[in-house]
Amino acid sequence: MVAKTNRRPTPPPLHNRLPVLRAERGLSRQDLAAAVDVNYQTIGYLERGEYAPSLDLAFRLSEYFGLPIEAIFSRAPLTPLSETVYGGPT
Amino acid sequence: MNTLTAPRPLPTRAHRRRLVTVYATGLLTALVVSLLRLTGTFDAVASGLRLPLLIVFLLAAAGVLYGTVHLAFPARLGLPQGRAADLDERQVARVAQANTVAYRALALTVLLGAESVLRSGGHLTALQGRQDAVQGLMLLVLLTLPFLPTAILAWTEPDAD
Repeated sequence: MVAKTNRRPTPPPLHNRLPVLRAERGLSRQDLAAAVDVNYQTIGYLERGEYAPSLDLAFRLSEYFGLPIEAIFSRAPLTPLSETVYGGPT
Repeated sequence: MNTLTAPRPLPTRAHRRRLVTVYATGLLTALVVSLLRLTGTFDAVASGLRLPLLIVFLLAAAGVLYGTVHLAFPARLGLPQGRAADLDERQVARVAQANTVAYRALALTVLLGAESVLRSGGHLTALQGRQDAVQGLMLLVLLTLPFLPTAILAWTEPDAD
């Protein structure tokens, strides 16, 4: 008899820098959605961490912003990009 | 180039849930009245109660129609509608989830209905004089199944902003 297993645990939240990257480039959600070929509502859900993108969509976003995927998405809370690049305020 | 059609703005979840609540309340009320007629309880109640029951049934029917008119066109509610090729990956996943839940609900309904028919055994002949109740139940099923996935989506989709 197969033992009843517990439900799969909820994955940890996926943090992202999409709002910052979008704001830096002066893009609306509609602009970014059109660039990566998704519905604009999906950009909102991505930004709020309510939807984890497929690898394909993550690559499209990565290519669009010219950044590696791990610079856009992370399991750990993201620090400001300037802090990552320049080592933070001195 | 984004080939996706421009959707209507998604109404707030509270607004969508009100719509689904009206629809579901109408369905359940109409179901109860139809079952009362089917089991003969409706005929057994005092004649003074029949008119209020009929009015409740008509109000329920109006609620069902109101919900049906809105849920028949998901795109008007800002919800995904159309072929998978026209939707993005999140929309496809959400529609698939809603269809899965609706299919399970359908399977459960069919099983429970079959069980109740089997339990009734030889009493099915008693239904012969109550064809209107049977037709009413069939109509309710027809007004539920096509719109159940959209109702699930409308209920569960988070607010857009």
